[in-house]
Amino acid sequence: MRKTIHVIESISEWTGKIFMWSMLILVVLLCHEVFMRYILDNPTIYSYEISTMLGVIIGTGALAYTHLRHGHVRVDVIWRNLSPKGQAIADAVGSLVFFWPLMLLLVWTSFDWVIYSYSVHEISQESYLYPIVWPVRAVMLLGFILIIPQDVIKFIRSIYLIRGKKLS
Amino acid sequence: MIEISPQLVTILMLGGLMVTILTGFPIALPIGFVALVVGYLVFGPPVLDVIYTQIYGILHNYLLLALPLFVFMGVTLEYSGIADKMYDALFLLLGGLRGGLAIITVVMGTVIAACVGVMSASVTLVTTLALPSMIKRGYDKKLAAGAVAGGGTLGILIPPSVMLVVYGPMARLSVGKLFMGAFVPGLVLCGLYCTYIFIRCLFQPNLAPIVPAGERAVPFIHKMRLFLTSLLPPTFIILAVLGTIFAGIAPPTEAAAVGAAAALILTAAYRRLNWQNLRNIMLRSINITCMAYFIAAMSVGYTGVFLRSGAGEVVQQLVLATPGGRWGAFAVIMFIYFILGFFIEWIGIFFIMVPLLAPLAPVLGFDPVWFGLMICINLQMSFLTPPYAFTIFVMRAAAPAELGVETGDIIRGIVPYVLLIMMCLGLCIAFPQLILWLPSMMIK
Repeated sequence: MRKTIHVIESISEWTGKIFMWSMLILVVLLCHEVFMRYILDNPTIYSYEISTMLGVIIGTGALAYTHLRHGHVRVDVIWRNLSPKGQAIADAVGSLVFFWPLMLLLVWTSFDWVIYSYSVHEISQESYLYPIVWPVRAVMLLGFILIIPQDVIKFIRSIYLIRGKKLS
Repeated sequence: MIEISPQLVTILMLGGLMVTILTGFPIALPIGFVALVVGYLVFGPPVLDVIYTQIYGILHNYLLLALPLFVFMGVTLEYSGIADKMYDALFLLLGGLRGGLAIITVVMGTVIAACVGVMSASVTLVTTLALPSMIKRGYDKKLAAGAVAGGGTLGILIPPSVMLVVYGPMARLSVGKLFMGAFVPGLVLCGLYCTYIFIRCLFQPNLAPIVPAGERAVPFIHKMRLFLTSLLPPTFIILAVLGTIFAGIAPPTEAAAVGAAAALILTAAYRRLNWQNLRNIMLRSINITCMAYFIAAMSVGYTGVFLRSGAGEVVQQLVLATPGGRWGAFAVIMFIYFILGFFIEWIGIFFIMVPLLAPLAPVLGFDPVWFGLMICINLQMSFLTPPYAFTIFVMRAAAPAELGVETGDIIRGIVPYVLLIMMCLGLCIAFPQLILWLPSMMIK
């Protein structure tokens, strides 16, 4: 059990460590574009599309990392005033009711879209770059998939807390 | 799939949202859950594709990329240590004034917090930096806490403000125009805060002891050097970012990228750009970005279901039917935002409410830019209004325990600032030009 938890939390940690680079890449890419367009007067054709693709990657890639770090904000008007046990109960119920059904269905839908996009060779037509779309959709799917085990771990931790046991 | 009237959908979706988010589960999920359940009742299984397309669309939005970029810039500036340097410089400049430290706090909030953008981060920054220094020198706790709260929240309005970066695309307005529109009200607020502190300390000098001259005696050369290295760079960054937008040279997304790069260069110049810091900067900004994008994604899924089922029109007609004409409707909209600001992080409020309510501005005969900024100023007031003010909780968490600042002190200190924001709102209603003048000067 402990080992599984450790493995999953390491994976979540790594989603942050990997996808954090997309932030820096975005900054460099857009600065490069600014330089090319306004100083050399020679705008690139790839910068616009690639930056929007990076937007998808930045926005979903590290969802599991944010969840691991308790980064997803809550409306804690009531939650804050509960006992640790009460908070754990609220979180466990939340996982069962809100989290898993929604995320599993989203994973399923995202998967269909990736397959569809791949099979029809979907191409983005917002610029003259015409890039294929499925890899970006696949990263989004990956982000949605990886946050689920992280929430299962949180659920298990809540259950342990409710039953008054300790889990290192 | 069953036949449900748009009225019932409206009640189910708004009521469901209120109930589910109060459970305290990370808000993105209850929002998505309500969209899924009600959407399934109305549309059947295709609701999943509706939600998915909406999510992909918002993540794919070029204008919204300014959000992660400004977050990155803000986090970088936090790690650059500029805030400490700036505080030292302002300390030497204004420490001799009665109430000077409180005024410094507000000025710090205006300049530095403006770059940080994320409100809880900027309030934390100002609290840890300015509060201990005031309390240790014998400032009145209420006065000190009020200045921190007022100054720390000012940052979300003053450009480059992340809040406006989100409002723009949601309301289909130019972010550049919103930035320019926010400038004058932001400075008016800063001016009102400083004037209030100055006058209050003039009449009650015991609230704010003057910093002893010995602490401020520093050689002139050293002083000049501190000013040049601390006050000029952030001013330069902000002006460079805003200038390019104002002059119509670059869109906000590109300006934000340049600002982020400039912040990295500044950090390097201060010799703070090591691997450890760079890694933390990237990790913190991706953490904040994923939080914001997750809420954004679920919220646009929610509005997608809401608007497609016809509930949007129900809400709009309800607001338009308010007695008291356009100002009655305006008051209702303001009130809705004000109350929501108590409970929900502004990101959630904007992604859900702006697509519903922003189209009403032209219908009611208001300028959309003016309307948007009134909402932002109003939300700032909401974040400060006791007892559910977001700012109070953030300050409580960030204030070192040994200072002995109680929630009561914070609340009593904040009240005057709420009144000052009301005054600012009144001024903007009486003189819309305060907001509209600068945007009208922009080169398009």
